[in-house]
Amino acid sequence: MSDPLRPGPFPDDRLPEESSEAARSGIRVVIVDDHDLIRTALRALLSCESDIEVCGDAAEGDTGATLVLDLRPDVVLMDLTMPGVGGLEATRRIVMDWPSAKVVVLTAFAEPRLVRDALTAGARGYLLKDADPSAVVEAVREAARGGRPMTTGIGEH
Amino acid sequence: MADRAAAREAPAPVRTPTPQPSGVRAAMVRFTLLSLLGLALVTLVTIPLAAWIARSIALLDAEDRTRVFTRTVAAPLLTEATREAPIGSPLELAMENRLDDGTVVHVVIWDRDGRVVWSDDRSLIGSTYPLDAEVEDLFESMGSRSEYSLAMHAGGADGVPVLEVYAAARDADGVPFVLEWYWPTSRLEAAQHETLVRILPLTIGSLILLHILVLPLTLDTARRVDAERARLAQHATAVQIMERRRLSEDLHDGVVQDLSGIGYVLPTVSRELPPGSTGRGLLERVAQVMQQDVRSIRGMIADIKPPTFAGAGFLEALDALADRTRAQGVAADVAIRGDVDALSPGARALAYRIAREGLRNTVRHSQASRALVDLDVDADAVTVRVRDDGVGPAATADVDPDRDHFGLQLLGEALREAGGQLELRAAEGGGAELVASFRPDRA
Repeated sequence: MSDPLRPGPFPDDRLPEESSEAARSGIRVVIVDDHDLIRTALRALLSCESDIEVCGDAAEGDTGATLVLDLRPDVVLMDLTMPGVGGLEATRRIVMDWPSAKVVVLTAFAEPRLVRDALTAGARGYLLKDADPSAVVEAVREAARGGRPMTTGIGEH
Repeated sequence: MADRAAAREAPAPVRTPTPQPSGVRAAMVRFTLLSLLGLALVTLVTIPLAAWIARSIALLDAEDRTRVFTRTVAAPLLTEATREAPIGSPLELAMENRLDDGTVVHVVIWDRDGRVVWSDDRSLIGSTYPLDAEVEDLFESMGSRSEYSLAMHAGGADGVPVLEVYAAARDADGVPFVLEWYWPTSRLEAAQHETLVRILPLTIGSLILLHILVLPLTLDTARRVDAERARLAQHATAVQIMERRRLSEDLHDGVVQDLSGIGYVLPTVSRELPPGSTGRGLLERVAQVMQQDVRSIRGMIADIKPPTFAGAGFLEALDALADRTRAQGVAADVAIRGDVDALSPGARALAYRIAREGLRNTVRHSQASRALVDLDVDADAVTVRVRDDGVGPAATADVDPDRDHFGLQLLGEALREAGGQLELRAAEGGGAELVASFRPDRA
């Protein structure tokens, strides 16, 4: 997939071969979100990290679930509201076939009902899109380690 | 005891929206009051009108009878011989018969010179008086005239109401004369009474009948108008909810997503710039502002997005309301008693609206640090109290009633529709207390 926002060939803080090396052994991530800009931006953000590799993305739940079950990534970043099959249903499908999948919801909604539904569907974490970008990167790492990343304030009610 | 004393000294409610009758009831009350007013006016007009009609009829009747008597009885009996010796004449006999049967109070027969030819007051016979111009005219026209009078000319008692009739004719010798006849008013009063008895039930009865006939129509129209008003209000609310939902979805799907995406891009772009460079610092600052903006838009979306009250949505909506109030500086809590699950969606929406309005007032006017929403549900009544520890309703002098109480007025109307009421009062121990209750089966 072409990515105009992908970092240049010589990031200031590492060499290209180091990046490729890290990507091969790093955390593999699939992004499922219907917004092009979010997918592109997340891919660019995560690809800058030497230990994270975005191995695929999808614009809706149905193809997202199929892609995840096919690629078996370490972490899935899943939007909730998408046309067609939404994030909750996609998460259910993934977890049903692959119970150890680490799906982290990434959404703009913070309603307690949605948090509860997402966790019930099998999500491991719940992040808000207005969280600091570095928090998203850290959440991917935490989920990969088996943790349950949650944006501060979510799930307290 | 101290508590009881405190309770007695608790300040009286400072603002209680005046209860207003429903549209139908108000229309019927207006209609009935106007009908009664119309009835009173018609009665007031009918009584003098009936009296006037009776008087006119009595006058015409008296004039007619006098004219007939003058021409058919008096004229043939008035001869030269009678003029010469009226006492004991057949004319006097005929006149005395009428005086005896009470149809006449006082009679005078005049000749053209103003001389009294005959009168029941014998002292007048042969005397001469100046005639009124109208009476003189009768000698020419051979007509008659009548009037209602409080005085009797040419004798009789003044101050006794009588019908005064003059009728001209030619006597047996062809000499013109005028007979002045005073009828008693007993006939007039009887006629007046009879007219009133006939006219008044007719007019008032017609009005009452009209009222009875129009009443169902008015009631039906008022109900239709009320139903239409309710339908329009529901429609307006539905449109408002739809618009708010659409707006919140548009904001979420468009601006929030784009800003979030840009927020992820910025650190990536920033890394491309040399550490410590102006551009990198600027981008990091922009990224922070972007995050704040996204959070604030997300808060706006939460405010405008219509809450969902089905299932656990109601309690979550109340919690979210408390969250937003806390974010505005007032520590708000929600306490619930009773079976909330039994409430209909309409009752839940109304209870939520009371809580929202109460907390909104608290945030705007109370200067409070804490607020408590207390929801009490039972089968017959839902009561919502919103209490705060602020300055109390009496101290909010800067309140603009039009702007700040509009929400409360609308809420009051909604509550009355649901058989309830609303009161904003000073709470015991300080602060303000909004207390609203309604019937869950009517919400």
